[in-house]
Amino acid sequence: MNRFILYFLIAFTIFFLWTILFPPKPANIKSQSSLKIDVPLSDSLISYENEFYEVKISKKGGFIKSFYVKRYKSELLGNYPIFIFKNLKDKDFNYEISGNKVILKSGNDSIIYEFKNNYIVNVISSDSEIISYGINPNLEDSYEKRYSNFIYYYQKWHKITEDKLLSPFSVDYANFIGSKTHYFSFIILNEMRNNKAFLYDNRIIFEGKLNPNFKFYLGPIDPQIFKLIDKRLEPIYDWGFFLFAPFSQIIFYSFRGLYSIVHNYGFVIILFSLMIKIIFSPLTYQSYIAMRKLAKIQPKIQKLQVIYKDDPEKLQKEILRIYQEENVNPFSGCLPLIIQLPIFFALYQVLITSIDFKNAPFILWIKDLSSKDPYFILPILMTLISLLNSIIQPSVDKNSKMIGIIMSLVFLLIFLTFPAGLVLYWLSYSLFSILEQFIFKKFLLKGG
Amino acid sequence: MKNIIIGFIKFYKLFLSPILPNSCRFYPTCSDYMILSIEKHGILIGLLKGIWRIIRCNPISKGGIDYP
Repeated sequence: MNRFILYFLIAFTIFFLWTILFPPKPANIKSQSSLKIDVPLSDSLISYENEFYEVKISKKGGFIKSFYVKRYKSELLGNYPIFIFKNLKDKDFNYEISGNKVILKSGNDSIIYEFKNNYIVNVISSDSEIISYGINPNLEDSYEKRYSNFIYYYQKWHKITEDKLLSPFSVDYANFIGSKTHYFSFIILNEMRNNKAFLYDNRIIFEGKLNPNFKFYLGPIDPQIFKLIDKRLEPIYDWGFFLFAPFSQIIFYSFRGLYSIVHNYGFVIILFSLMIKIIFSPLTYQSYIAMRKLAKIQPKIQKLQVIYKDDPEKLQKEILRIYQEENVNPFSGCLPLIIQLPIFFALYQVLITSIDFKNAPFILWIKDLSSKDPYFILPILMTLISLLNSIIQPSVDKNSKMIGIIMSLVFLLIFLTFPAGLVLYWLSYSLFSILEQFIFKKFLLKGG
Repeated sequence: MKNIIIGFIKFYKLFLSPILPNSCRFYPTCSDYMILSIEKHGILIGLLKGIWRIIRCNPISKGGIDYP
């Protein structure tokens, strides 16, 4: 058995060191060279700006060339247009801006963009064939890239990963169609026919026919906005494993609520862990009351400890028998402990999926709660606390104390690369637990 | 299948349990109970009984000695 433990720990350690030293790189998918796409050039641009974004439209071809989302400081398009009208791409347009509309005219052809709330753009055009170049897959980092998909909705959402787009992928009919990266998406909110999607120059490109009067969404993947537009859009946001999804939703929306009060997601996480602590504190309080009663039966237990000092299992059983007789129990139970697990998983999911945490700073050195602590200060603090805990804790046998210490160190390796926000949650939860113990001991158990 | 699930629980007992605070109010502990319960009643009923035990293992319950 001991040898098994040793092998396991070695394997575990090597595995985690490996993933830390050699993080998986996004696959570099080469696009087919036989496909040639001409990207229309644009010399003069029309600017339109509102509270949320800044748009640049090319006079030639009348396509949207640049889309800068102010809140997230992200350019969604790069050098490619979001889409072009196949039969209008060489036309030179005259323009007029009135209110939230940009009207482009060239002889009998016209394109009207109406920039509405919730990142929706209404389009009325004299052409119904479009080619979309998708959103910029190289948005800042590889993380965005890894999650770029071609998506379409027909009865349910279908996500097509880049490797399946090396040869053209056909969809006869779709209610919605678009492309997404990790944090942003472009979705045409009208039905489209004869669609074809493929990969070119690392971009997801799709084309098809639609009603010349249509609307599209270009903006963050935000379930709150999606809900307002169309319920069917909501599943584009990933709530995670279905058992934990309700927890993710609670966390997501309560974080937004808390953020409107404190304006810093680091403090939101600390407040959240305090809330969880307070919710469970009546339960912990119960076990402290029990501890007070326990003092009275301590002599009995000490007697047992002498009798069964060579048989820890029997000792544990006998102690519990006395607890049962005296109707006290100092343990708070497994349920309060296990309930942490879904909270933990859901928090992880929200941290890595929600755009709210993208580059969300805390204080001092924590500049992005969704990625790892650059100096590993939080995980090291956390490990110190858990080490202390496993050293202080009376355990059944020496072996398990040793494993506890080793596992604390193994967990350090895991936590090193975890999102800083998650480690912050666990750290502040542990600190609140210590504080809670202190308060109970000092104020509630006095003079018992 | 049975052995895989029991293996997971044993894994938890061996490696994860030591870093968590002692908290079980029962004898046998919830993880031991789960193993015994699966061995006695089979996977489905055994797991359900084990989960029910974890739910019962909270400060409001009395705790004590409780075999599956």
